[in-house]
Amino acid sequence: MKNNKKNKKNVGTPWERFKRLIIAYPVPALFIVISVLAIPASGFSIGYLVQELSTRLARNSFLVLSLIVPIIAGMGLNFGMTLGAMAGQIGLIFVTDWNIIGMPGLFLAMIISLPLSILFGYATGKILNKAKGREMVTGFILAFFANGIYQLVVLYGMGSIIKIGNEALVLSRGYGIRNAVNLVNVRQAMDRLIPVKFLGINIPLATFLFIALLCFFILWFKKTKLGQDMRAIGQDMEVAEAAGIAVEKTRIIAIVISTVLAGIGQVVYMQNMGTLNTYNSHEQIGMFSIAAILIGGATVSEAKIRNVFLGVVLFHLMFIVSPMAGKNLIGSAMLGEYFRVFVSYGVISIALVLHAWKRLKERERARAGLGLQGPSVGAAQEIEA
Amino acid sequence: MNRKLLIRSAVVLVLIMVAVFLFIIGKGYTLLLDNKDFEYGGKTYEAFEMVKVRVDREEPIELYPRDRDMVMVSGKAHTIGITVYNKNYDEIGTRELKFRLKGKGSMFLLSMPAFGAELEPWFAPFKTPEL
Repeated sequence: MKNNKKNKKNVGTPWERFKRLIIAYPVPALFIVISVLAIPASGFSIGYLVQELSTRLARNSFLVLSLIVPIIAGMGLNFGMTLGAMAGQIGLIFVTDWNIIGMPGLFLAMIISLPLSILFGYATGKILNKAKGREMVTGFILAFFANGIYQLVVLYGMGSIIKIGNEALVLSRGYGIRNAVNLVNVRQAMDRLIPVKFLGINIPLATFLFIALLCFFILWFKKTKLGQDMRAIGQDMEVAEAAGIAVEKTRIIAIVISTVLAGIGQVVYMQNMGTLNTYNSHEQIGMFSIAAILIGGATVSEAKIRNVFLGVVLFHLMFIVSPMAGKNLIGSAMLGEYFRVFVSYGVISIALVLHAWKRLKERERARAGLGLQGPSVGAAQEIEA
Repeated sequence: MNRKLLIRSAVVLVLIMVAVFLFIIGKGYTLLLDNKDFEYGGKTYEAFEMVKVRVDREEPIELYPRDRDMVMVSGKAHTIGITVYNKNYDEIGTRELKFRLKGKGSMFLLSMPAFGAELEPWFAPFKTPEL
């Protein structure tokens, strides 16, 4: 089977193979072309770009990896990961309040986020089970709803019902968390745990090891019974149910795992940033992570670890070079930034439309195949006679 | 079913224990290193002409008379080492001690002259004076 796949890939001239590759991965190809054009225009040195990419890869990969499990389970892109990010942020607020420093602070924030993420993930899974086939849009709206509750808790509950001892965290009125929380106690605690400098580039080795651990977990998880059940559900929910798999329960577990990982990922993300934007940091996370994984060549129904890394690199390359390229080409960095936003979110739309179009075509082809089966079988019989 | 519940409860218990452990070892404290005259038992212990203070593995801090500096540390157990110099910056003595922060609060005042004189109350919880 694997050999067949390999042979199929190697059929044709190199140009034909290249064309097939472009057709199979149009979004990464588009981004590679834009990046190749924008890098020289930006005027940034390769060393600077590599340094920036290394930092951003460490910052975002964990969050983007959290999207893989629901995709395996056929639940599409988990826009509900924002809820996990909220749990991570609540953990960080408590750790800052209690003045817990360094790695213990980070791990404690992760542990605090765990029960919240499990609870949020369970609720999300329950709701998504009621909206089968519309998981993405449901998750997207759910994130808005959850944001309202998060703001209610953080803006009114903290400092009044939930005790916050650190005055620097609380608004001057006596309750509610300030708009920006300085994470000085845990700032880059993981990034600087094992400091490595290679060819003048600072590499956050400990963070990369943590990300590698998650990659191994995902690879291992795919091979477990639960992972196989999720794959079966992802391929055909009805067949999986007929085979005796507890579809709804497995889907909930997939979302819980994704939400928990998103919570931990948000802690890793925020320790790198060093400042928590209490009411906004989580809002963009879902969109950014989903854009990154789609840019990496993943689809709504299929995602691999390599899509995550390629996506983060390409997406963030655009982040780095487009303002400067815009400034150098048009004379305004803002136009470059607008261009990046336009292209990045345009890509999400293109990827989703392309996926829907591909599925439609596949269905049409399957239908046409069924229709042709009668006459072609008949023709074959005639030839035999 | 019971076995499952038992395992889950054990996992939750372990997580709580790890969280408590992380809280204890990661709790941050501000140490104010003070090189001012220290009065104790009717006697005045004068500030050092120059003293280098090293807390744990932090970079040493130089203090001159009436100087006060601060270091952030995590956990309650620490090591402090001082090297005392005279007016001509010749080394005249050193002292190193492993100690545990006692008392409530997250800020402690460490008196260098008291520490140099091996007095027992050489550190105490510090409260920011209210204006």
